[in-house]
Amino acid sequence: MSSSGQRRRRQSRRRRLKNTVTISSAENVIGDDDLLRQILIRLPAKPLITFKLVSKRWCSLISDPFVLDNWIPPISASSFFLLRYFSPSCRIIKFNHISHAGFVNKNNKLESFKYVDDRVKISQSCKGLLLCSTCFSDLYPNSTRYYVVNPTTKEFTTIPRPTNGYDRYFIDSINLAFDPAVSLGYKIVAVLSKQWPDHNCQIGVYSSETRIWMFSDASYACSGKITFHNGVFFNGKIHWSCCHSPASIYYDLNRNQFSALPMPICLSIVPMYFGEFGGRLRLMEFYQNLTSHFHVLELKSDYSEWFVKYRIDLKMGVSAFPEMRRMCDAGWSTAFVFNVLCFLGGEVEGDLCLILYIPCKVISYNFKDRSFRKICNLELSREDIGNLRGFSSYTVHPCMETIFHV
Amino acid sequence: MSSSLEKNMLILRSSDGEEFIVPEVVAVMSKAIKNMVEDECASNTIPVPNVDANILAMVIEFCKKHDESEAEAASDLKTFDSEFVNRGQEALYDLITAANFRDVKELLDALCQNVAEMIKGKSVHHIRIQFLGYQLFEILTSNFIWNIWCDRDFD
Repeated sequence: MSSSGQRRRRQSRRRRLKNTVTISSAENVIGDDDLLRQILIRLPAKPLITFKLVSKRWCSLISDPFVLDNWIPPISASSFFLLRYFSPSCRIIKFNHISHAGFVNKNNKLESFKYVDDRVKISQSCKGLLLCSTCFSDLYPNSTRYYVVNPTTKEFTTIPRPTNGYDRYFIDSINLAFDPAVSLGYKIVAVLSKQWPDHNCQIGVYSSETRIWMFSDASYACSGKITFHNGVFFNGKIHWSCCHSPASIYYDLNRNQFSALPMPICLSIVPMYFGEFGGRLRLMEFYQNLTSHFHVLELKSDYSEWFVKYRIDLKMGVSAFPEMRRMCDAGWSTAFVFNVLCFLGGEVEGDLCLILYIPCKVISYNFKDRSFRKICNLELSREDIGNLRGFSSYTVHPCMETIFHV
Repeated sequence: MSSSLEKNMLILRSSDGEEFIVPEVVAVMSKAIKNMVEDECASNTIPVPNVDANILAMVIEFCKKHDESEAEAASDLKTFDSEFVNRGQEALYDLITAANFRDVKELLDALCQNVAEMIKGKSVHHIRIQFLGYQLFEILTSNFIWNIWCDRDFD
């Protein structure tokens, strides 16, 4: 055993070394490639890209296949793109990009995808990647170009048109299918029909690995009007909502077939919200503005039935945001003025929020503490609000920051 | 010494000579120690070089908590982890070195997550100063030479 003299000497030496030890232990950790990789895979996408500038070594480690393959992606959306109204003569299509903390780009409140093309709009978003298309496709369907864009890294790639020999097909639906938990490659699924809409259709699947379209015949049975523009991908399946029918359809990519998807009720108009968060399909019916509360419905994981997951009461927000309530009919009744935009955050992280638009403001409703908070001031035109009401899936696209290549 | 111990206890000796009596199930959360136990080269005291008593005590505390609370809710463990790793800089990086050296995966994951949280808001300049101190001289001098080069009069 050591004598007291030795111990004292050792302690005094340690005290002397203390300052240098502080620096060198951090340097040792960061200087070790394996440990630095372990730290890098846990960084969010934005700082990770910025830190390429730290040194040559950091740059090469961040571009390292290990970091790309093992990087831990965010679970839930942190921001969303809101498409602003544009007239057909408009040259540039603009978006607001908004997160929990307000506008993502503080200097420039209106953004466009200049690095791709001024005239692209988002068709779909999926786990941080966007499927974009050039506009005015309705007039010249054959001239539409498709892109897959990563808005965080500003990388994009052009997708060839899904043509199977001859061009007389209508594209009913085009969807991005990307799940980094399964594969770092994405797929694009197009539903093509000869006359629109047709229950006997063709399915085109484009894979980022092969870079070609593969086609197969398929058919589905649905008596209602399927909202084909709003496909929701998760769990290897693309889900569509449907009006005037108790059942809609989903397409299973692995089994290459359509199946029936129950709807909570026979909807008469497009739902206010139809999408996925937390790995479950959620739906919000369109409510008349006279009610102060509304429900978020969730589909059970075995697809058997829908149940009420959350109940939201707007009355609690009126004290903080009186502009939410509007008197009508000479004060006999009150109406609530709001539009549902999207969900941000997640149940696991405990920051799940519903993002709402009320006159001149974007606000969030936190499900955990049931509080309403202002996110930013935003003035939307009458046309913008009309778009939100009728085509919210065209207009709002939740997004998350990822480093995935396209 | 080992005869007085219960059967499933191990003694760990830190680099500065302090000894810790730890249940075997806790000690083998370190893969390095697990391998030693399995190879039966750990009949009595296991030396843990490069890890001093202070850090070793922390590592043992972490492993004990994780061993006890296997049945507990994951969220409780998560709060414990985030509180545990929330330490001063020095202890944090020493702990990482220890966790890496002794191969304690859960601890290493929690610690690396903590470092990532700490540095994600920092600027590139800050990262350079904090972690590449030994290169600072190099960066400064190269900038200095670059500035001279740029300010040169070409006449």
